[in-house]
Amino acid sequence: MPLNTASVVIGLSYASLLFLVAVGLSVVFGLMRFVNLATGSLYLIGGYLAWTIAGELGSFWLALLGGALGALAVGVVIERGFLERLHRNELLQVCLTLGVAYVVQDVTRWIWGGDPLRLRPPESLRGSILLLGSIVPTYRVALIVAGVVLAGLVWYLLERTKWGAYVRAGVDDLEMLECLGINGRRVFAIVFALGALLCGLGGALGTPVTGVAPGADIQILLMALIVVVLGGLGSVSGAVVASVVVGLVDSMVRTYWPEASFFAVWVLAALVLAVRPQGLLGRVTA
Amino acid sequence: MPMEQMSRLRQRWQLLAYVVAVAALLLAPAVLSTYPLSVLTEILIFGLFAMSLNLLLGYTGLPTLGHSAFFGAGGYVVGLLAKYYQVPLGPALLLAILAGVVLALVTGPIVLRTSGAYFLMLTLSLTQVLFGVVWLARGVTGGDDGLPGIPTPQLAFLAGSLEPTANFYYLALAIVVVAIASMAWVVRSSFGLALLAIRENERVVEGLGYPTWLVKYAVYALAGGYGALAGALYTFFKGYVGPGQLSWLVAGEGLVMTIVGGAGTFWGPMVGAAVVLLLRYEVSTFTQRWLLILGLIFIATVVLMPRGIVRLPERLREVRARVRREELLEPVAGERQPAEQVVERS
Amino acid sequence: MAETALQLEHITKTIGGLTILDDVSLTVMPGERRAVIGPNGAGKTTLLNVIAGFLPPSRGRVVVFGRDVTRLPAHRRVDVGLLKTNQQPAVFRELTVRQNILLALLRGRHPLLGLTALVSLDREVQRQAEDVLEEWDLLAVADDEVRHLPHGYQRRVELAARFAMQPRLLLLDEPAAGLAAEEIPGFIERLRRLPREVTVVLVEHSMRVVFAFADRVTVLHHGAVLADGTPEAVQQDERVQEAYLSGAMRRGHA
Ligand SMILES: Nc1ncnc2c1ncn2[C@@H]1O[C@H](COP(=O)(O)OP(=O)(O)O)[C@@H](O)[C@H]1O
Ligand SMILES: [Mg+2]
Repeated sequence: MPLNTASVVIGLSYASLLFLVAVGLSVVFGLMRFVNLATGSLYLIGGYLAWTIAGELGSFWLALLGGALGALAVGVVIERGFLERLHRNELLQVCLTLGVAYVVQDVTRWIWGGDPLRLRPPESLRGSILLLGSIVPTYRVALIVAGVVLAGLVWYLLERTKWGAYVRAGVDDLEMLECLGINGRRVFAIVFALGALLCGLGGALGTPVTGVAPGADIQILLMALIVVVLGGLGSVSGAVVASVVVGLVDSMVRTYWPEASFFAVWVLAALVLAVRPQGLLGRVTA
Repeated sequence: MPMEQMSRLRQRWQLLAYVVAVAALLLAPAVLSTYPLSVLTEILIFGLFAMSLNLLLGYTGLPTLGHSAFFGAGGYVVGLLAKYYQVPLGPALLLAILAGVVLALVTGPIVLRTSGAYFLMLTLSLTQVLFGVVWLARGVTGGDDGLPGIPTPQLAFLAGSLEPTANFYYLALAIVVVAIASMAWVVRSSFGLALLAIRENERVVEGLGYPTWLVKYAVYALAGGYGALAGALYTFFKGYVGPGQLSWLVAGEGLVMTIVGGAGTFWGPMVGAAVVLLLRYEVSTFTQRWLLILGLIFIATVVLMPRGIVRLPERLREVRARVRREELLEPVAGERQPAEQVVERS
Repeated sequence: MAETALQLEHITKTIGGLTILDDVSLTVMPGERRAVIGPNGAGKTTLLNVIAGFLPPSRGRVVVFGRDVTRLPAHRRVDVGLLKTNQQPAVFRELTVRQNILLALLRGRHPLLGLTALVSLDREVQRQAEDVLEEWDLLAVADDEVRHLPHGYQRRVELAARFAMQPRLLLLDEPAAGLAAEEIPGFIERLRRLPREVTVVLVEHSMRVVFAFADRVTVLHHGAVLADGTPEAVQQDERVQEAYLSGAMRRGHA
């Protein structure tokens, strides 16, 4: 079966969103073994805020900014308020972040209602373009470009700056990092905040294609968890590869075998993990 | 010795508490109307589920987010058996337990290669796969619609004198009590002590000559069996089983019940189940914002009593014990005492 | 020919390209008390972990009482009679002192991984535990959680549990570290009371303990055996003094 350009574009644009949500989750996970089940909520907040801001101010770009900053603010509250005391305690982390997820889900439903809301892309990105002989939505292509650019930025930040070196060292061995006299908690706080920012941005960017509604948080969370475990905890390149794989598999299965769509990626995850518990690009933890 | 007297006194109080609790549970149908009685039944069933999860989470330190796989598997097994083959209650329950154990024995070698956060993710993934399989196998499982119309079993000898809700309540109570008694045996056995030790430091347990992998495999299978039993009861209780029973949200709820009540304590999960379910049904009578309140409870638990409701009195005792110890250890108090030792971990 | 208690043959361990143990060979005879000393980072802990089965060697063989255990998992090596203490006391801090001792006494005692027996109903093991607690002066704190106890007590719990299991080969990783000066004589006394059937390999910084206890000393430096002999001979060895001095100068402590 020839690859259908449209479904590849859809898959890759979804991969962009997945990457934005997953990368923060993954690095935070790798750095502190921290399980953030409120990741999807940050995405949801980003989406809803963007929708409102676009409606009030009429600017798509301000909406993106607002969504990202809103999620950042909530992320900082979670981190400052609670996470300090939950170091290495997976149970309480799960309990707390699940609690936050419930609260966010209910409060957003309270404010924005239960119906899906959809943001219109900016004027310049509406309509379709011809790509490799297929007609594809312009906004989807723009999403792919945005995803590539942002992935490049994250890569640069982590691989080419001194601060990124701290993060990578911390993912390998947090105690070692602290032995070098670097405040691991600070590094963690910044990573967490940046991760929240990217989640919110993802939510805002995703609203024109997937819409935003109660339940979108859980859906994106589950997908992001798959990406994170598939890619390997703490691995940025792993997150990129896994996002692309999951995005493409998801959109292919949706095209050719819709009934299996949400379950195919889990089979993929289970298969990979059964063979490589540390994920595709993850390192074995001693 | 005063210590012994104290513990004997405590034992006596404990016995009294059990007697009162059992009496209250036995008399409940006489006092409660149908609706609260069905809530109580649900608490018992979810309590058993959370207790089975606690074997992994609380006793062994394996944080699972996929325990609903067993809850659902037990449900589907009795659902299919009762609906299509009219298998009687006893064998159906035994087969459900067996299914849970087998499912655990099959998935155990995969998930037990990991621990901590990875374990969480892997159990979640496998449960989602099972969810997908059930959803796809529409011919057998009814897919999204599930299997409605499963007859709720009744205790034959009470059939004439009790209405069905009370009858099933007694049935569930009897089964849950037996299950919990056997679980009490497990955690008080030499095996149970090894679990607690593994939770804290698996390597040291291995260094003492325990086959820790095998111990974890065994407790995973046991938890699977108990979880499936709870799921089977739940299906009988609802008269229905659907993919929702397998959902990771059920696993998450069990996890939260366990933590709220007190992970690693024997009764904590049951208390947590009672608190969460009572709140759900109470709160939803006067407000739609039940999810919000549930979330706030989780957050409050983490902040205010991270070791659970059941451990509150224990914490008070601990303070008193520390005072006693300080008097006792006075002579060596000059010794250097590392405040917080880092436990050697692999 | 007398069987050796422990024989290491060309043990090499590399982690991430770093050679941590470099072709270590040594032989310990039954009943011997062997001290292994060396500057910090010499590889002593790693060596004990290789012997106990927590780290697989990259090359070489570990033979315990004539049996090649190189491929044996750690818990199976306990069957051969091998037990180890850790630099941080290998105790369960969230369990009581009594539970720590019981855990040691209960291992392999009941079938089906211990599922067949309630701890509280095994009178005999309870009595044994009571005896151990008494012998180690731990009765007063028997039902306290170990995490509440001072370091010296924790060390005592660790040793009591290991001794109670009647090992044939005991590996001790810096057992005197963190003890107060006045606790050391009592500690040495405890070690001396070990029957001669028990072979001991002791990693220790305290020269006081080494001299009071060891028959022979092996010096490890940069993962390799630097010297081997009686405590006195080793102390005289110039290379050993040099190794310690350079180490002390680089790290700022001995
Ligand atoms: N897991 C590991 N990864 C990398 N290096 C290690 C690891 N474990 C130990 N080392 C290194 O091996 C050397 C020896 O360590 P160790 O055996 O603890 O020494 P000692 O007990 O003699 O102080 C040290 O330089 C240490 O940094
Ligand atoms: Mg050492």
